[in-house]
Amino acid sequence: MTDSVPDANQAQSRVIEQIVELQREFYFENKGKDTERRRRLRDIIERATSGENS
Amino acid sequence: MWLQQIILGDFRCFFGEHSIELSQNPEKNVTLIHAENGVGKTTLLNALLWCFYGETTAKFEKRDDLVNYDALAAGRRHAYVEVLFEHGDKRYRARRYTRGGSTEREFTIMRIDDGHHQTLDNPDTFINTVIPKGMAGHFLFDGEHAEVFLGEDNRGSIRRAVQDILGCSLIKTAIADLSETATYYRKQMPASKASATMDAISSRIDALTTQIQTAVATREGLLGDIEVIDQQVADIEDKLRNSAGAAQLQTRRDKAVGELARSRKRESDAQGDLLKCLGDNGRFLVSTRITEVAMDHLDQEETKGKIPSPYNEEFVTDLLEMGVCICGTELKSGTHSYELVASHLQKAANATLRSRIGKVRAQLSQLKAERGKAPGRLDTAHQRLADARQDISRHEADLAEISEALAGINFDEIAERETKRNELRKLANAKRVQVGDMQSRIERAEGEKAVSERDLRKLADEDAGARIFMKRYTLCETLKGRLEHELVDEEKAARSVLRRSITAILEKTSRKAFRLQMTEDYGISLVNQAGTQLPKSSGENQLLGLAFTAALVEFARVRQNADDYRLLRGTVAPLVLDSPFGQLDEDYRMTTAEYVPQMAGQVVLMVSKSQASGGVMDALQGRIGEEYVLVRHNRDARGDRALEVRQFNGKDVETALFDAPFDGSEFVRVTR
Repeated sequence: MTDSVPDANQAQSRVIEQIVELQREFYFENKGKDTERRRRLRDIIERATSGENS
Repeated sequence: MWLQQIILGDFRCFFGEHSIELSQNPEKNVTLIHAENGVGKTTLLNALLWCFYGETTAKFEKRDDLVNYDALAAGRRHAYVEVLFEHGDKRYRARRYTRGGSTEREFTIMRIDDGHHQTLDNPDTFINTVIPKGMAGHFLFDGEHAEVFLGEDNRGSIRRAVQDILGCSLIKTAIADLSETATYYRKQMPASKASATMDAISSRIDALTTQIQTAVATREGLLGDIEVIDQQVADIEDKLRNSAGAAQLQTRRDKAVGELARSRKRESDAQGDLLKCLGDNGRFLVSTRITEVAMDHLDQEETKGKIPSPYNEEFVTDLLEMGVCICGTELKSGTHSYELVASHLQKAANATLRSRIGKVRAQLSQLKAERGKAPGRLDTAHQRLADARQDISRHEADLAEISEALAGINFDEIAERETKRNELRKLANAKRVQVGDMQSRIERAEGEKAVSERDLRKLADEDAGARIFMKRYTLCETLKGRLEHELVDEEKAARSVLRRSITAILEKTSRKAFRLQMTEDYGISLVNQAGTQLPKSSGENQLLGLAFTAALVEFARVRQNADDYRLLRGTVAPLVLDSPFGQLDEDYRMTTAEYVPQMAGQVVLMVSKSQASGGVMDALQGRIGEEYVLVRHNRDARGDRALEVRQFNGKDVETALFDAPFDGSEFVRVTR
């Protein structure tokens, strides 16, 4: 139980890293492609939550 | 980045190709450009922005009309801007054409290696790593930039500036995307037995979100209004301070306002102390009777020998073990005598009981002792609160008397100003009440939204189909919350750095003792020793705008190698200052001119004739590496217009030419 909170925090930090990396990629190279960026953000969120529901 | 050369081709007021070399000498890092209004200062600044990012400032008129009219008349259809610069020991040439003006791409950057040009694959990416677009506006500084930070919506502008230099763009778009995605998942909950209820809750959350957004916008609007009104009040007070008939009363008011603020602080502290005192001493005061009764009871029972019990547990046990009573009767297990003595064990005192009674006695004694001191402590706290309140009443009465006296002075517009001041203060106070109302609405709606979200989560948990969407929604909201929190922390640290930096700059450049105030919500102002805000129009505030820009440039430099994956790195870039001396008086212009070369590694300074006064030029002496004059060519005949000739470093330059073959501007180099 005591390990689960830091684990969840670490898992969230990894998801944040992926999201920021995605923002960086679009900030420099794909400006104006909001729909595509949000679709890829949903992919990240769905991957992050799929394990818990499998 | 160090700028080497800017080339303008048929760009706005520049007909044909014109170029300017910029000083790269660190000792003489200022490129000075003399230009009157309408000759092309703003065009040069916008040419840089347009070349790098394809955009111009919002105030640049006819933003889509970039090709010079004479060039169009001559059959040319396109304008271009080329910038040669150095970055990280490499030289680059950035070039942008107006749409369709190049056979290749509109924007290219070439790296120049030993005379060979190599075109970069991603010029937009590259230029954003050299100077992120969000930061560029703070390096290319038009005259009004400083006032943006002091204008009515300054809090928002200052926050955006801090975020720009902090490189928060990635976090900000991530937050916006997560918010949008969270809503997307909430609306994806499939139809099910609970779906009608879930739909209703979801709609309620949408409605509450809108309510919160509206209330936040209204609150921000009101805060902006209050800021403007407070500034108008400060302006009036400044006029009264400088008016012979009102100066004395206004000075008295400044003092009384300062004292009132201090008294209110004392009142608040005294209220806190009183509550603490009640918390610490309350039990002594309310326990008087209980303590007395308990002590009397203990004393009586001890006198009677009932407390502790007259029988000692160890003594009774010893008798039973020895098998003989103190009267000599044999105590044999099972006999009546044995049972009689053994029954005393049930009420016999042992070591623990004796210790407890000792402790009760000690605590009662302490209560008794403290009870004596408590009323005194409480009286002292009450007295401090009463004193503070008395002082507040005295200062408020004093302020009312001053206001009445000012309103009675019927000359030099003093009475009118005082009446206006009081009206404005009343208006500001009414708006403050509305702010409080909005704040309550926001808090209520946020509370209700949290409950609705909890209900939705509970329903979704019970519904297998909805569960996964709820999980995704919750994750988006959690990550958004974390990023918002991190952004606030980063901004807080940035504010602290900027505050220190601005204070240090102001100490170097100002001749008056005033303090910088920068609140949590980015309210930035200068206050005098009496704690009164200086008027926004003052030279000191213009200086504050410049100091803020200098602090941003310095912060960007410090952050050039920042190693945080969430933030864009800072940068070292040239500072282009267009007419920065605005309303500064001669003394401030000189001090500021002395400071300008220190504001960045490379400075391009554009000044009009009135700004380039003797003092400014003396202060810049020895720091100017390149110097140009922007000369205006006119097709019109001179007519009755006088000849405009100015002397720069011993060279005579006619600054406005007539009967010229084209309308436009030209750079004339006058470097010493």
